[in-house]
Amino acid sequence: MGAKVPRNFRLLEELEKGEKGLGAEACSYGLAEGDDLLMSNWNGTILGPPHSVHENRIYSLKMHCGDSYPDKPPTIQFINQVNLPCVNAKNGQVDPTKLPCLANWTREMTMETILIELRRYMAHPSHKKLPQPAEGSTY
Amino acid sequence: MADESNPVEDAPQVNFKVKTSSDGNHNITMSEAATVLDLKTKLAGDDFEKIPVERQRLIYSGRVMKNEDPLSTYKIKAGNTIHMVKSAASNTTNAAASSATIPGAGVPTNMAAGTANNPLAGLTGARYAGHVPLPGAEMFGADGGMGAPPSEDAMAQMLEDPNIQQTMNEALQNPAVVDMMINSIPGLRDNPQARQMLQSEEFRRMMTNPEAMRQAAQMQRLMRGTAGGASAFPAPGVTDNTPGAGGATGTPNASTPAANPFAMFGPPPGAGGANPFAALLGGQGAAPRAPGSASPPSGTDAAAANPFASLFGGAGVGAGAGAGASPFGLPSMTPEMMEQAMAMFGGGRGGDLFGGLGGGRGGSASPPPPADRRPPEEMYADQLRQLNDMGFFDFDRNVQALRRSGGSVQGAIEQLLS
Repeated sequence: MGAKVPRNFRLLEELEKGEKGLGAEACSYGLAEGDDLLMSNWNGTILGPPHSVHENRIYSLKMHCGDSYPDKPPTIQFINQVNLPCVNAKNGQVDPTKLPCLANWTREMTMETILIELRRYMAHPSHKKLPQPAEGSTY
Repeated sequence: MADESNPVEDAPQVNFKVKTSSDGNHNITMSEAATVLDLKTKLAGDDFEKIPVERQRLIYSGRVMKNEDPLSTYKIKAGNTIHMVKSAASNTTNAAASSATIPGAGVPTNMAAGTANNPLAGLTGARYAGHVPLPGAEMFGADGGMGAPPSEDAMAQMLEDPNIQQTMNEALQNPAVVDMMINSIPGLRDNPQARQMLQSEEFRRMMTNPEAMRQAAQMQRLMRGTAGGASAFPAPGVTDNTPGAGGATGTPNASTPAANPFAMFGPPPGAGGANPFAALLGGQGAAPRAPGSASPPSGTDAAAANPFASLFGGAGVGAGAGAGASPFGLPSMTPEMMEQAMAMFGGGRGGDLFGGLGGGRGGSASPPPPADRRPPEEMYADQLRQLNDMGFFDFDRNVQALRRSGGSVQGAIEQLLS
């Protein structure tokens, strides 16, 4: 195998992309604490997809990249309450077995991949009409 | 409160960008001590977005910015980007969304409205994210360039998605999109009936009909090979156009022997097609690519821009079926329109989506390989040597990577390293 991109290089790359706003418009992400040298804790936002109950909502979530990222996916936890089958209703954690991109994680994927996938998940025909908690409520 | 003369002038200034959902981009320098509300007030001004403060939502680095926080809270670094999202007043979203299709609508009323200038911008914008699957990563080469064009199966699959169909329908109903398509295609620009044709219900149905796509691909294969020997298309009488069968054109039996209505296309001229995704992902103006190494350009066909490149890669193929199938069951297309459509295809070689792409390769792209059938070691001799020099010795992997990157060594290396 060729050389693998080490964790920190990867995360720096993602950080730059997030901060400069080069990625998809509907998602944003960045470090939770700017001085976090290990770049473990991240914030993400997802702009609710149109034509769904999530339209015009902004969902904030926390992402934690462990030491083995990007070999292992980050853990994802919603801050804003959301009613989705892949999200634990008690604490907002995303169940990695229920979200395809986490279940089939490869190291090419990024946090942006997850955010976009989550957004698509929200827009999925079987999820886009789910009743949602009041906007702004948090876990 | 005045923005500039506030008491904390000593605080460091920070320069950042604000990117709006409607493609707006502003460069702003403010004091770090200023609050988010100040920034919003500034953005609400006439020089910027003219959006009321209460409808602005700002996001930086994954965080929603709160009005009362000073900018320093968010540790914005110089040159970084804050996203601005317009929140539409609830219940008016539907009205707002449809207003996006009215050309020249004054102040944008929701996030989709700002795309009025470039009707295709919305396809990659927030409005469609998650709604329409954009081309998957596998459609692109490793370095982000075009790899193999999507196979017709992939394309048909994409078209089967009701979201895509809806989007295409919407797009074709939008006069701005039609204008743009027409203006960007030499063959259509001078054609008074082009608009009528593009907007006709049948045409749209066919462009969004996966079955028609497959037929077109078949036809294309046929044309490439024999230029009209035995036909995959049935004669007019044979066509089974069951009225009301899902609204789509009937599926002609591929094995029916009959005169080939497409024989009149003549042998495929073989100039390169335009990159079908150029317009979709990179704005307008599909740039014709260099012809594939095996297809000699034939002078007259220089203007080979695929007429439908600006919409979807597969649409060009779909249009082939559309134009071809219509005389049989769709009276609303006049013979003149047909003629023009055919001339367009004959001259512009619009149907050949696969010909000019990817440096003459395409094994994975379209089941019948285009003319370049040289073995990979010959085709990629130089690239393989370079890869070998760099220490990549696995022949099969090298070839595979080169194929995926369309022959780019740079791309192949990235593939190999990933």
